Formats: sequence, structure tokens, C-alpha cells
Amino acid sequence: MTEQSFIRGRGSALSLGLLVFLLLIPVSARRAKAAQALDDLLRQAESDFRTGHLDDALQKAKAALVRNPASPSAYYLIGAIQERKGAREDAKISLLQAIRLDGSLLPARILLGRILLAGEKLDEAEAQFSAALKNGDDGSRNAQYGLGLVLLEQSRSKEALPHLAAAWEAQPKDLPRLYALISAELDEGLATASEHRRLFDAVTPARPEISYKLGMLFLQHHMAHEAEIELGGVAHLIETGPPGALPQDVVATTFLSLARLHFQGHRYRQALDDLSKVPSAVSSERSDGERLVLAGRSLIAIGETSRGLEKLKEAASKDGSDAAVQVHLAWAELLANRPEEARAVVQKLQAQWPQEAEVGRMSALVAREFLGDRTKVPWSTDWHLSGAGAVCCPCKTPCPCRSNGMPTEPHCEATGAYRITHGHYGNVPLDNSVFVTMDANMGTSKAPLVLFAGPEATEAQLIALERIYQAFNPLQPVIFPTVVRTPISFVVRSAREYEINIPGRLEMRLKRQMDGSSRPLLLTAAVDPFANVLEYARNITYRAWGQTGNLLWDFSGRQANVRFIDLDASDYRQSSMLYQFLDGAGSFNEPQTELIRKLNLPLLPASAAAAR
Amino acid sequence: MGVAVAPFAFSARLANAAQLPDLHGADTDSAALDSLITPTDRFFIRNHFFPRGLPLDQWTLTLTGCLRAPRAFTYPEILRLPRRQVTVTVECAGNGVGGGAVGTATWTGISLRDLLRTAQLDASARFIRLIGADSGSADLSGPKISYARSVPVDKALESNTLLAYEMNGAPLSAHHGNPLRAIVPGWYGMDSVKWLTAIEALDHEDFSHFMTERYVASRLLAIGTERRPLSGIQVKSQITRPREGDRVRGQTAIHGLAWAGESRVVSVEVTWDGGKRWEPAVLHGPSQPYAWVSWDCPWTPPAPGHYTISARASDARGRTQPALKDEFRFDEYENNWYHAVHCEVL
Repeated sequence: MTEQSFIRGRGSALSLGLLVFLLLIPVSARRAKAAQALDDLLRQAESDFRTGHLDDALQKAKAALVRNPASPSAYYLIGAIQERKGAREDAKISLLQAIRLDGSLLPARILLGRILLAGEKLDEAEAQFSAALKNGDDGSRNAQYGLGLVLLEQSRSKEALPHLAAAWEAQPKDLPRLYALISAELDEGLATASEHRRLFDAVTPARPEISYKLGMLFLQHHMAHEAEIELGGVAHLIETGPPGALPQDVVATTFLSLARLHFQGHRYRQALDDLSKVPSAVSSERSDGERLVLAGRSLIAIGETSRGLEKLKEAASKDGSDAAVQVHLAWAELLANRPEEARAVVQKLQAQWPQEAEVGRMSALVAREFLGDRTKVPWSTDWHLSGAGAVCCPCKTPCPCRSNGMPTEPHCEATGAYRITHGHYGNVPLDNSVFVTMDANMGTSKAPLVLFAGPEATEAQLIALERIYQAFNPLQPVIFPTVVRTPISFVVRSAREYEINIPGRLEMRLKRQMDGSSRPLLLTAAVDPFANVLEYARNITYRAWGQTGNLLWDFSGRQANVRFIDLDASDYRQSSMLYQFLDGAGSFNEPQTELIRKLNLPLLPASAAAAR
Repeated sequence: MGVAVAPFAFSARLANAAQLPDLHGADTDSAALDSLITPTDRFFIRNHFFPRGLPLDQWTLTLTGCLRAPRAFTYPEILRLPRRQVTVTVECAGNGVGGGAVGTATWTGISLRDLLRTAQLDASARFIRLIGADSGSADLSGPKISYARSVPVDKALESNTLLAYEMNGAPLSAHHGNPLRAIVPGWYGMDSVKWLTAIEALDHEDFSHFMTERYVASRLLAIGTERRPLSGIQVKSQITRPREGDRVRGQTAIHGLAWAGESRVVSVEVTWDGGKRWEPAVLHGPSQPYAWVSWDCPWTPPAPGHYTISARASDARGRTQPALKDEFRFDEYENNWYHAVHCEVL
């Protein structure tokens, strides 16, 4: 075998298995013998290299060079050995010499390109990979892969894409290649990233270190769902695989990132579980603080206010320079019925961050707790409501919002009328009370814009009602922006027709849809703060007027629904309300689908389609 | 749904900052100004969405709603209407005490009144809705909406309410609303809608997002809130020199600016002893509605040491700056309590 055939057949992995035997042009016997001796030396050197005997390999490669000082393959082999030994600068010199002797020497160019890429000499690396590509690349498309990586590093994702795609097609089970391709696709905002992510997960054996990188990549691109899948897979491998398979800081970041994702998705119990798996040995002030805040807020979200408060106190004591932590602490103190302590926190906040809007808001919320009857209505986990509610809105039926989608219209003039037959919040009775909530646009808050209550409603009852709304999501302070006391008529005829009237302001008439046996026809699981199930009804009349008597809207004939309420604090504390997982994803999300299954909730065909 | 009840929005703000880096551009450094007019390149920038400068040949302004002759205007047609110029201080409603989201410019354009007359405004019109070309999701995930604000028809018909195409003698830049923006003098900046493309005359109140969820003064009660839409700028003063943390020596002067929206500043007072004594400052030139006035107050510190200097202004409507923020205010607007600067006298 000649030197040329030896080199060309090596490929990037220096595989002798790929040697191609070529017939040589006739040469003299002496030259043939010398060439054979050189090839033998190179072959032995390469064998030593492959088995990790680098010094022996180097010695033989150098001996080969003595026999033929112009041997590009000897230089190449020496460069490869030097690179393996960590002597990258020496390797570069050897490989350059190899290339000078034979510019078409693909393995030398590819290896040199890799060294340059690792050393962030991107322009030089690009030149080497491009030259290798011009010379035809190897069977594994290593030049294209290298060039794609260089372009990706240079934020030239669009140019990188075809190279990375070709490289991945050449080796479809190579996870780093697939990772690089997905990375370029994400940079370009291509939907194929999600498809390739699925292929990535199908490759075995899994490589948790690359899955971890992919998860973090999805996080960077705000693709929470995909990030959760990847990092969830990594977490599973960490828990089921041999200990120490991944560095502890990677383990910590994996579980902390999952905790963040679960917290954002309102899956607070899962977030707490994730946080319990963050290795305590790996910590920094910042990650400790975040862990404590996430734990504290998650505990508050599931009704464990006292434990949540303790976590937030600990977080605040560790880092007093973070206004957000102190704001969370002040809120937790309020929820724990400690208004004086909350006031002390906001006083410190005001001194340090007097102009911070969030500080101003929290200060106002704390100051409010000392007004009127609020101190007589402490926060309570003992509340219950039973009764019925009727809602009309401009949407089509079924209302997409109810299955976690966006409304039909770009506005949401929804009105809910509620008659509570039995209810209480702490010591405040709510029996036989009626209230109406009205919204006029698409806000991010969960509190209604206007609350109408009967003239007989006491301030304590309204505060109690607001506190119940607060219990729907303890993390987001609720206020009723506008409260109007006015006579409200809420009449139910034959258990079928609902008529709600607020003289001069509201007229609502609904009719339940029932079969011959008086069973509701359109019963379905739905996202609603008061019930997990509602039934769609006929909207006969839905009109509202402004304070001056001007007609605000007439959405008669649009969407209407009725729900029967039997709700208490434990429904929310046990995270068993679909409403708690509302994220506007477009259809029922995973935790909602699980709840529907677990609670055996009915589904209309249209809603069933929305349950992915 | 209600006022923007969004405490704990620190992370959301960070998300905003990451996604929308251009929305909060330069602040005006009023201490560095040589004249009462803020140079355009140093004028503060606040937008809700990405700036939307449009090519002039593609731009039109459509007038619809309660009009007897609704129509659209091209840019040359706008330029042919009578030209008007006014010097106006624009302040962002959320500008902090001593903050840089305020500046004064000479605005040139046409009177909105002239334009509405051309379209024959109907007597039923109660509000004029100004709609910008910029749009997006108000909370980064909700439906896409345009930035729009409505002003009462009386304010819209004031002769000084402009649709401006020039700022400080040059065509509007992309950041400042080219090719046409509203200037509603004496009102907070949210009504001076940039990148105007449409005007709608409404016979009813506007309940859209930027009218009901943003720019509402909200004061918490035991239950419910007192709410009122923001409009005119509150009386306010700002100390420009010395700056926070300055070290000064011997006899010096305290300098500043004051403005009062539609009213005019009648006095500015300064204290450096915690409010035991207030010294009157000298206003430079006549104070007029809409634009700020500069002032100074000679100061001979009684002794070396650390001082807190505070200023307060009063206007012709009898309003005086409050000493502190109203503790029940739940919104982030109208921050006009005393500006205080801490300095050391050597």
C-alpha cells in the first residue's frame, strides 16, 4: 500500500479499515520495498495510536519521517498524536506541514479545522473545512459538520443549516450532530427543530450530557415544553442511572431549571419535588436564594403559607439586595396574617427602593390591610361556597377560553352572575348572597373589572369575597378595581331559565339545554374558578349599559353557560381545579388533561378534541 | 379584566427588557442641558411596542367614526394644511421623581382641530381615538393590539393640540414617531401617540386596554379602588444641580426645572434643613403653560457636612407638590413628590 492510499483511506477516525488498495504504477523493486517499509511503520504507528500507546506511535511516526522527510501521512499522524497528547500548537504545526506537502489531504485539514475551532480561530477553521469540502469531504461528512459548527459559532445559522443537515444525514444517530442541527434551526426559528427533537429522543443509547445541553438550548429559546421534556429525560437518567454520571453542577442546574418550569406551569408540587433533588453540596448564593424563593412561593401557592413564609424569610436574610425577594416576603407576611411584619418589610423596601413600582404597589397593598374592616377578616383557609353561577360573553359556543384557548373575539366582555346559597369565609357568612362580575377587556389580572353586589352586602362580606378570589391564586394579589352596590335580581325559573337584572346596567337571560329526562345536554369540563364542570346554555339576552345609561354592548345570542358551585379551600389547596393550570396554551394542557382523567370529568366532543 | 394587578412583575420586566430592547431608550439628562429645549438626540424615548417608522409613500392617516366626511390623508396633504408650532414639555406618566423621562421640544405640525374640521366632526363625537402603527401583545402572550389612546373631544379641539411632523426643526425621527405623532400639550406623554396612522371619532367611552388597564390612577380603598384616567401633568420640580452625591464648596446655587402641564409654575421653593425653612427660588423668564421653566436659588451652606436638598413647585391652579407618595396609590404614575438630592459641603 502506498502512502497516498494510506492517508486517503483513513477518514477522520484514522480507521485502517477504510484503506483502499490501489494498484500502483510499475516501480523498481527497491523503491517498492522502501515504500512498503514506510507503510509498515505508519501502519504500526497508527495501530499504537489506536490502542493508546501514544509514545510508541510517535516514535514510529518519527521513524517514518526519517525514511521519508516529505511524507505528508507521517506529519499527519504525528499531528494527530500530538493533538491527542494535548499539544495542540505542535499538532497545528505538524498538520500544516502535512497540508503543505499534500493540499488534498482531507484528514489533516479536518483535524486542523477541529483544533482551530476548539481554539476559537473561527476564520482559520472555516478555511480548512472549506478546503476539505472542496476536495470532496469524507464519507462521514466531517468537513461539512466542521464547517457547520464554525458557521454556527459565528451566528451564521442560515449558512450553517445545509452543512449541518448533510452531516446529520451522513450519521443520523450521531447526537452531537443532531444537537448542532437543532441549534441552528432554533436560531432560524424553524419548526423542524421540534421534529428533530423527537428524533433526538429516539436515538439510543441516550447521552444525558447532550440532552442536558439541548434542554438548556430550548430554555434559551423560550421553548418551555421542549425544555421540560429534555430536562425531564435527563432527570430520569440521573435518578435511574449510575451515580456520578453527570457533574453535580449539571444535576443541580437540571433540577433547578425543572423547578422553574414547573413553577411557571403552576405545577407547584412538582417544583417542590424538583427542588428537593438539587444537591445541597452544589450551591451559590444566587442559586440558594432562587431555590428558597421558588420553594417559598410554591408552598404559598399550595396553601402552605407558614412554611412558605419561612423559606422567603431565609431567602431575604441571605440576600437583602434583591427587591423582588423582599416584595414576595411582604406579601407572604400578609397572607400569614402578619400585617405588622409586612409593614416592617415594606418600610425597609421604601427606604431602599423608593421609586420602584413594585415596591409602591406592595406598600399600598400592605397599607390597605389596616383600612376599614380588613383586620376583622383575617386570611383564612376555611371557606366554602355552594350555589350556582351563570356567565355570558361574546365568544362562540363552546367558548375557547374554557378549554384553555384564546377567546373567539379580540375582546372579552364577560359577565358572571352568582347566587351563593350557602357559604362562609372564616367567620364571615356568605349565605344567600348574590354578586355579579363584569369584565370589559382582555387583561392579565384575574380580578373582575367591576364587582356588583347587593346593597345589603357588608364590607366584611366583600372583603371575604375578595379573599376567596385571592385563594384561586395566592401568588398574585387581587383587588376589585370597581365595586358597585346595587339591587341585583337573580331568578331561576323551573331550574331551567336564569334571569339576572341590575336595573339600568345589566340584563341577562339564559336557558339550560336539557334532554327529555332533564339531563343537561352540553355538560363539559371547563376552566372556571368556581367549578370544574359547566354546561353550555342558550344566551337569550345579554346586554349591558354604562353609568350614564349608554348601551355598552348587546351580545345576545352569543355564548352562555351555567355552573353549579360546591367549592371550598381544599379544592385549591389540593390543586384539583382546572383553573389553577390556566396558561392559554390553546387547549387543555397536560396537568389539566390529567385532572380531567383523574376526576372523570365529562367532555363535549369539541372539548375532548381540545384535550391533548 | 381590571386594572393591571401585577405585583411581582420583576421577572416580567426582565423578560420585556430582553425581548424589547429598544423600548426604553435614552433618558433626558436635564442637568446636562444648556438650554430649555432638549436636543432631539437627548430626548427621552418610551414606547410600548417596537418603533414603526413607515415610508412616506406608503403612509396614510385615516379618519373614521363620527365624522360627516371621513377620509384619508397622504403625507403631502398633511403638509398642505396650516402649519403650527408649539413648545411643549412631554413627560412620561411613569417618570420617577428626578427622573429622565421628561423633555421639552418645539413641535411643528398641524392642529388636530383643523384636521377634524376637514373631516367634519359630528356633534355626537365625545372622544378622539389616536391609533399608532405600533402593535403587539400587551403582556407578551395575549392577543396583538395597537397602541391607541382616546382624548376627550374638548382637548382634541384645543388649537395647540397638534399632529406634529417636526421636532426641533427637523422631521420626526423613527424613535419619536415619524412621520406623524400627536402632541397633546400639558398631558402626560401616553396621549401624544407616535406613528399615527388612524384617528377615530367615538361617541362613547373607550374601554380598550390602554384606556382601562394602563394609565389609570388607582388608589386602594378597604374594598375596591378610586380610579380616574390620567390626563394633565401634575406640578413638579426637579433639581438639576447639584447632582446626587456631589461635593460642593462654599457659596453656591441650586438649579432646577419646574413644570405644571396645562397650568404655569408660580413658585419654586427649596429647603436644605428638612423643611424647617423653605427658600424661594428665582424663576427664569415667564412661566407659560405646557413648557418647563428653569429656576435657581442661591445657597450659602451654614457649615460643612451632609445635606439633603429638596424642592417643591406650586402652580397657578393652587396645586403644590406633595411631600411624599400617597401610600394607597397602587399605580406607578404621577410621581411628583419632592425631589431630594443628597450632597456634601466641604
